[in-house]
Amino acid sequence: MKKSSKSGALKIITSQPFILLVLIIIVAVVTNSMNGKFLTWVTINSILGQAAGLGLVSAGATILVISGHFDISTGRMVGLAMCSMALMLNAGMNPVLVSVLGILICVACSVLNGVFTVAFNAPSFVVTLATQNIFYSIALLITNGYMQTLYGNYRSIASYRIFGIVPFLYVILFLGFAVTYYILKHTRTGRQVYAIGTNQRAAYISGLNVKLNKIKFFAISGVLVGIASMVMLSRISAAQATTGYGMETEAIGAVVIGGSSINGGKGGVVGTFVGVILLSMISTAINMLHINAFYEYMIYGIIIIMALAITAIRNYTMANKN
Amino acid sequence: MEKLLEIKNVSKSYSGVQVLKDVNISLSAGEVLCFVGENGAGKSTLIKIIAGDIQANSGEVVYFGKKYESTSPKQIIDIGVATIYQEIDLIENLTVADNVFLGREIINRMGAINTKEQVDRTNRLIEKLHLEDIHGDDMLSNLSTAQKQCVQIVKALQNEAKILILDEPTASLGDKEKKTLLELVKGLSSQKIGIIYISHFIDELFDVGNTFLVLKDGVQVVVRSKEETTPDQIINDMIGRDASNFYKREYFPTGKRVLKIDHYDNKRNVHDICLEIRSGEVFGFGGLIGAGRTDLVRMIYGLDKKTNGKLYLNDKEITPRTPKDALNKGIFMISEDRKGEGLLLMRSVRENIMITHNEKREMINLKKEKETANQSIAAYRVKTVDQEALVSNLSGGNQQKTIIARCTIDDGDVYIFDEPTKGVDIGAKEEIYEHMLNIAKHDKFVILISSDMPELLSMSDRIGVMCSGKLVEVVNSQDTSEDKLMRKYLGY
Repeated sequence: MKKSSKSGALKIITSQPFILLVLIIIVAVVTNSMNGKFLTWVTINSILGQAAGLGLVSAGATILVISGHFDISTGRMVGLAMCSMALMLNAGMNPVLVSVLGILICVACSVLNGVFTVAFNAPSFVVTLATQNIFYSIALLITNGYMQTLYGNYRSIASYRIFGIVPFLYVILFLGFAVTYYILKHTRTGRQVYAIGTNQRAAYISGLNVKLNKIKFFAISGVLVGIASMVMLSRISAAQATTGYGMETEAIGAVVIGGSSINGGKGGVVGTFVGVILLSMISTAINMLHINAFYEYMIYGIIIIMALAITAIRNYTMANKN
Repeated sequence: MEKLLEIKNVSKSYSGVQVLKDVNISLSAGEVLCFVGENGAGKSTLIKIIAGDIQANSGEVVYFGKKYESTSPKQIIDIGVATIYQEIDLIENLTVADNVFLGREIINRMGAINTKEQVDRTNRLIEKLHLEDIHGDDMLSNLSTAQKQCVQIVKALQNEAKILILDEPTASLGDKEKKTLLELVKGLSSQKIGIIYISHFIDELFDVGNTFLVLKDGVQVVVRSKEETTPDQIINDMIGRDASNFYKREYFPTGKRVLKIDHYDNKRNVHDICLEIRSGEVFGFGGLIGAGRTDLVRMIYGLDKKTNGKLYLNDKEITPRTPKDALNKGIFMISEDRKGEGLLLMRSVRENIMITHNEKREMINLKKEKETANQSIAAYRVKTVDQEALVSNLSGGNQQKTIIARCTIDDGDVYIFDEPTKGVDIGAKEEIYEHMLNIAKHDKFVILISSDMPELLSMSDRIGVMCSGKLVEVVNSQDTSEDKLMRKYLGY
């Protein structure tokens, strides 16, 4: 019992979010020393603004990854939802109604992914590999392949500031993560995520409805992807079928960087949040330091490898301790 | 006669539990040596040591007059020892010949596999063994289980095995198929191949065997030759233990409630089981592995499919459809596969204890959860650093206590314990016994499956003996003995 308080502090210092936080501070300080404009309100605004869409998608991906699943159709889902919403807005529909419908489209797509995964007892990776093509096609069909511009409508989510100070966008981002954190930590659903990701058989025998729960996890991810589509549409003010493509792998990358196990059962959303911030900060830093933008993906790749190495080292030292 | 294999003073223990102690045995060419013993007597461990799968802690194994410092399974196969396990170890989508030559293919000048040559050689071998109905170019997936077993033997012989180890080869075979296999084994021994044979069926052992090594609790009891012994004597050798092996439980009067297990059947390996259990009673199921005990309780728990069967508590039907339904109706099961089906190994002790209870409501009160987990840890004396420690770091006994704690947070009626003390040290065993009795004492139904004879005899009020999926007999444990039970298990 004496040991626990000491190991508690050690646990925080060696945790993935903490290590990433240190990395973020290092990157910030180094970049700022080379370009003084880095640590200004404008830059931070741009980093968080960029992080909003990816962050919300990543929060949903965290739940899926911990439960042992992947959804690689989220990028195409964002594209489909944004196109549909843009078309509806341009047709003069009520923005609030359009937002709700946008979220519903993503929930429906995600539930479909979940139902296929459960019904065919198939890896969700393969199921979503298939459905992403379908979502993309639908987006192309409804837009005829043309970009849909909103001509400055539907800007309020991105530009509204609460009390004229706090950008509404950040509130949505933080709320998304806070709710995901709460779900994972304080609710039955959260326990089901970890239990099913660790050992489905044991979870089933312990009285969990594994199939229904998996569909539920997809649905939660769908809500978050829907909100992400809403936020991104408001920020970009335009949409085409290809919008969002690539986010799915970036999101899973952020989850892994954040320390969640790709095999399921382990991890948390705090790490994902820090991972998302790190990624979007690095892309801003590359921009501001006038580094060749072609390096961006290389750095992104290296960070994922580093995250894996940190996890491997931690597992190794833990195994040796026992 | 030439000695193919000599085992000298071999001992093995796993984390302090001795599973084999000072075994001495040898195998000659043309001999059929049988390992005899109850479940858990150490037969499988001994086979694994011979096959190079695990290493003995002390003693030595001499193959063909030569001693090896350390062994790997591949090395042992290469020197001519083939082990054929109960599970078929072949590839379904290849032909018989391709399976026989897998990893040692005959290559022609073009660098491709010479299929014709492989099939010819396989056919010649099959002919030599008088195995009708199998051909080298048959797809393996078209063969019966018995035929597949034979193909495994063909493969071993093609690899020039001189020692053949057969681990319960007839367990999943019908009578006619069994006969074919036994004839094959007899034929092999006449070809100077040394055979180690394991089976639960005494008549089968006396049919093929020359020598019997009897093991009990990892200790070599005796070695007897067929000419000088009888099945009765062998059964007597297998059982009989000191009183110290028996736990002295507390007895209490049984209650008035009745749990009725009504016509449970899965048309596969459980046949029409009917039974009534009284509350406050510990009802034990005895039988050999594969007798259908585990399959029965898993059907009762709503986990495995059944074709028929209803469960009644005081004439009220409570048949569970799923484990979730079972838990809602107060039926708990502690699976025999602790790691595979019981625990969330990567998660904390707390989460493992609370998983079932947490299903009751969406919002979890973390503070209350922590308190409940701590109370359970204290009540069940789970030895852990704290409740946040990973359950994988606990010993087998403490892991089992964690699962029992999980099942007792909420009130229930029926508690099924499937091999609850497997891989558990003696101290924790007795604690688990106390917990089980404590549950029964509170007027609950306790169902126990155990392959540990002293455990079954000392814990149960009554014992239902199962054999080949049927409930053969229900006896009062006071009126029976190891000897009588073993005969019933064997159907002898």
